[in-house]
Amino acid sequence: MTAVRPQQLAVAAMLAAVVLGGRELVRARRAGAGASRESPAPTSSFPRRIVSAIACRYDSSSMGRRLAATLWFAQIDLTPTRWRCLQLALALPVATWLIAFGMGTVAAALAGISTTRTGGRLVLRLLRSRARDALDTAAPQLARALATELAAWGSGAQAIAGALRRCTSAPALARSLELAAARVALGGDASTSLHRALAQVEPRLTPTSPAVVVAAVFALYRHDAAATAASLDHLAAALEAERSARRDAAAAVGEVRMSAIAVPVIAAATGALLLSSDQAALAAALSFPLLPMLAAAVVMVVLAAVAARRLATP
Amino acid sequence: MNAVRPALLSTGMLLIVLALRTLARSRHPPSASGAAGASGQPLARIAGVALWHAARLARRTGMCRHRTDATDLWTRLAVAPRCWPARFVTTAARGRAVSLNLVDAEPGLSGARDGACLPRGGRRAPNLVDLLCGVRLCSAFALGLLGAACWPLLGPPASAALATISAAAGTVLPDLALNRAARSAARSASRDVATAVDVLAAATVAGLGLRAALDLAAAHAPPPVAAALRASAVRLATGADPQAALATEANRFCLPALSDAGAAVDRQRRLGTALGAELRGIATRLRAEQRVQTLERAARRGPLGTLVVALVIAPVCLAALTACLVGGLVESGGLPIH
Repeated sequence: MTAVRPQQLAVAAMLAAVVLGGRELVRARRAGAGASRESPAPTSSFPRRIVSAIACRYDSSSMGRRLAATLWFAQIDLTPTRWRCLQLALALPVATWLIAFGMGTVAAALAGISTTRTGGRLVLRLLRSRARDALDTAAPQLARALATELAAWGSGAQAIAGALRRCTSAPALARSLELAAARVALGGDASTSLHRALAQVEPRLTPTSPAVVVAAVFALYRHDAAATAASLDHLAAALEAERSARRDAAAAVGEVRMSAIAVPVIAAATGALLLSSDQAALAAALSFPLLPMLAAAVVMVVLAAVAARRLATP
Repeated sequence: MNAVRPALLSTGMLLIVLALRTLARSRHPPSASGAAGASGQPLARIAGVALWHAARLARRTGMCRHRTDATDLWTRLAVAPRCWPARFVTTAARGRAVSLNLVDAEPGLSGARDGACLPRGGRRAPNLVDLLCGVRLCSAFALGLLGAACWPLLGPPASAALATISAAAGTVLPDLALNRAARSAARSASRDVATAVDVLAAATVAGLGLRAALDLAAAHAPPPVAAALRASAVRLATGADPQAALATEANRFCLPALSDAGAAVDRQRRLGTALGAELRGIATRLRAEQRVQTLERAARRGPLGTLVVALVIAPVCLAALTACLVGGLVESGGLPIH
């Protein structure tokens, strides 16, 4: 009987994590946004009941609620417990890999957990900023939809309902409009409902964000609906013109920005191919005179690439 | 046994850090956005207390005070509220009595008695200039300490000289950062003023008064433009002529578009022209100018980026690959080097 190698263990753990994570994601998607956020249903099995009680306890704790809010802003339909389980499932193969490379057990576990925590935070931040960008991109569409209803002498509630029907491109915007419509249906003020709903869906939206500016102009409809409709139309055209100018400028410098990344990547790929096919070159690259030179070259190329991209930022 | 000790130590440290973090969070619950307030963080509170005492020391001794502080500090802080000296000033001022009287920084210019109109406890309270002096003092102290920490490496005389130079640089560093941020904000303000003028137009067309329209536009403008609009609204509230108020603040904050808006307001008053249409025209013109400037900048900067790629990135990559090839040949004996 042959002993199990740490590398095999790591591969097995990685596969298990991928299978479990995929299963969890598929389940969450099937369950839908509303159902997945509910606490797990009580089951007859005693261990499952204990697990679900612990999960409910964590979900309702302050840490769990904070994480639930973060997941909501990033538009991830997972409960905090499931998110943590996913992180743990990913931390396991990382820790196993580190143990396989000779790290101590405790240190590897800590490193694995902190790596997945940091990675999770970065993913959440990325998704959140993407949602924010999508919201800003959809701002002209929102302004036009609101203006169309207001120009037809519709009320604020009708304008929000019309925008809800038309603006389906950005999920964050659709959520905001749903919240605004719900506020109005519950008797809230229609003029401020959109502004509040946007702040609720994405609290990090700045007051200068196009979606917030559109909401602020929409709030003026209570003074003069027709004039506000014209202002919203003008604002939509202005926002589209600004975006078009930005795109033109980005297209003008896109080639340079691309080459600042493509040239080092092609060179790195060529170098990797060379070093993997030539053992002597690899040994030379890892020896004293060449190693510091290569390190300095890498640093210089990275700095130059960053500088070139910054220079070519319109 | 050797491996267990560091593991136990690191686990204990981690637990202590987590416990402290939890304590801090439970004491100050996060805001709706999920982020704790700046004043709620222990580090920010400690920094605030230290800066406050440094500001009081600076007020008593008159250290780190510049002649131009009282004249343009408001403008710089309003234009760049997110740079680090401005944030430190805010941290020190939060929750403490601060004098709003800036003129007492220059005793010769002040007509009123120092602290005559201050709230209780504000008689000896530092003002914004003192807080910035406190930031300068703390920066000098921190950099001086850093220079003195090089004593084991450089020896006493060199480290003393380094500490002195670092401390001197530390007094200048906050002003450099503040001036740089203010310049950068002023440059970006010209890009963002068009949207503010659009909001101003929407508000005036909807029937809001000029002051309310300025307030609304300021609430949705970036800091440099918002500061100019708020200052104009304050001037209007004190009874100033709208054109003069907007023109003065436009000159002060380097926003010529506001002068145009002031002229449009004046034309509306004299001739009855539609203010909203004029303001929209101004915004459209600003956007067209901005578009031309953006495209010009892109056309100017693209070749510069190409130069960096052609003169630095490509040669260095080529040299690295060649070095690997030559190293491989030398290692395998194919290229004898004596």
